[in-house]
Amino acid sequence: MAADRSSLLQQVAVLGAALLATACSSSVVVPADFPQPVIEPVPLTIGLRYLPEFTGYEYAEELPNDFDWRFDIGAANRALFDTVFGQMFERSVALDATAPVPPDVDLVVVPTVDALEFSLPRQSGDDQYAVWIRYRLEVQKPDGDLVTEWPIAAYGQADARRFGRAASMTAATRRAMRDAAAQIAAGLADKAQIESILAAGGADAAAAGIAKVNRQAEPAAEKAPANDEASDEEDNDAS
Amino acid sequence: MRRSAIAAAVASCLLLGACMTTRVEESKSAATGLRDGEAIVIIETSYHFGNDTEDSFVDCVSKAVQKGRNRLRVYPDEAFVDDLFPWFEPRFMPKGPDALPELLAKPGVAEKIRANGIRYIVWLNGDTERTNSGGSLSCAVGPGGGGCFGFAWWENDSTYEASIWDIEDSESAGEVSAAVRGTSMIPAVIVPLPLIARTQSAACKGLARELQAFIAGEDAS
Repeated sequence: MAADRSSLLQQVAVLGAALLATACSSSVVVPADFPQPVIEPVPLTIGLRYLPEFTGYEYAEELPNDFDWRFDIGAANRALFDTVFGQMFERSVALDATAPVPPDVDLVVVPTVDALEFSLPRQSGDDQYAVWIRYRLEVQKPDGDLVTEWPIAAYGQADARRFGRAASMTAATRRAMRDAAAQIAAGLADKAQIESILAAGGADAAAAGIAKVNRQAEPAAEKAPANDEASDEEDNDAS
Repeated sequence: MRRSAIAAAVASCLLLGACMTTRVEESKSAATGLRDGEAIVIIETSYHFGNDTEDSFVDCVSKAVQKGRNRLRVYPDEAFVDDLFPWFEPRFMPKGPDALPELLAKPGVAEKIRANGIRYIVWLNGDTERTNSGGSLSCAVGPGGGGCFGFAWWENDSTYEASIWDIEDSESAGEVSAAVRGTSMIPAVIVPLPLIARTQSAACKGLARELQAFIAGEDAS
């Protein structure tokens, strides 16, 4: 009888702890649906090499005297790049981490997430949840030689007054991901440049064209992380 | 005489609700009008340009202009931004009507806008801010009951501007603005009596009414 009571108390304690942990954490899961860019496809076949740390990207942060935040953007990462590159190039092929590059692929892009940062309305004092994501695109020739690296600093914010806490942070994260996609699409929309180089010399030249577009891309001014707490997280990697 | 006027104003505020002053203005630079099947889209100016218009205000204006005698057909803003991705994302949206010709020349953009019958883009700018507050209010509960005593007040300022771009002519058709200042108060003698000045809602209604008249080509007064 005493053993039963002890077991029941233990179960209640575990349940209570679980409820407490749930109540004090916020989860951000970005829906994996993104719009297709309105641009003319570049006549190339692109290979998208997805590494496990990219398609399973998670980031968690415990804030003192606040909720614990957990971001899960892996599935959305893949959907974002599938959608954008699928429309930007005549053909795109998804490749696993170790899959060989098919012979008809002209270039391989390896996307990674360098860092994710966020700030809360109480930190920035302006009713906005804000998210920064730093992506890095490695553009490789089919044989694996590096052509160029394209760092993309994306930003999104969402009004805290409209949504709940987690929904606002999710909206801000989704806007940051869309911002990254927009920068990629707009950066490669200068098709004339890529095409003229392509006409002159195939995939090697196209890769050089992308590198040129990359150098010319001029990022718009954006809000800096709102406070030290957010900027302290600059070097966060996938957890 | 003056004292009684002030007392009457305070009494009216207390009886009728909180006090608000509203100013709605328009400046027109081109003839306007919507043909059958044409629509407008209402979107907020980018936060990359320092604008923090509340999403709820955009929704409010979008709904309000679709009601009444001069109702306008509104194409949903989220669908518009998705249809034209990435050209109306916060980082890339056009900063002025001068950018329209270049934007419309991009492959597929003019076709998408035409297919949805969009004639005007209405850009919303501005926000609601608390400009002042004061007073004090305290509440207590005891075994014999509870109650509140005191007087608290605050002042909100809702200032919004709508810039209307004519896509067909690639030019600005003009601007409409609404500024509403209101003081909310909570007097409490045992029971608190909140008198809230809904400045954002008033600005939404004023701006929507003026927008309807502006785009329909009528005199709003």
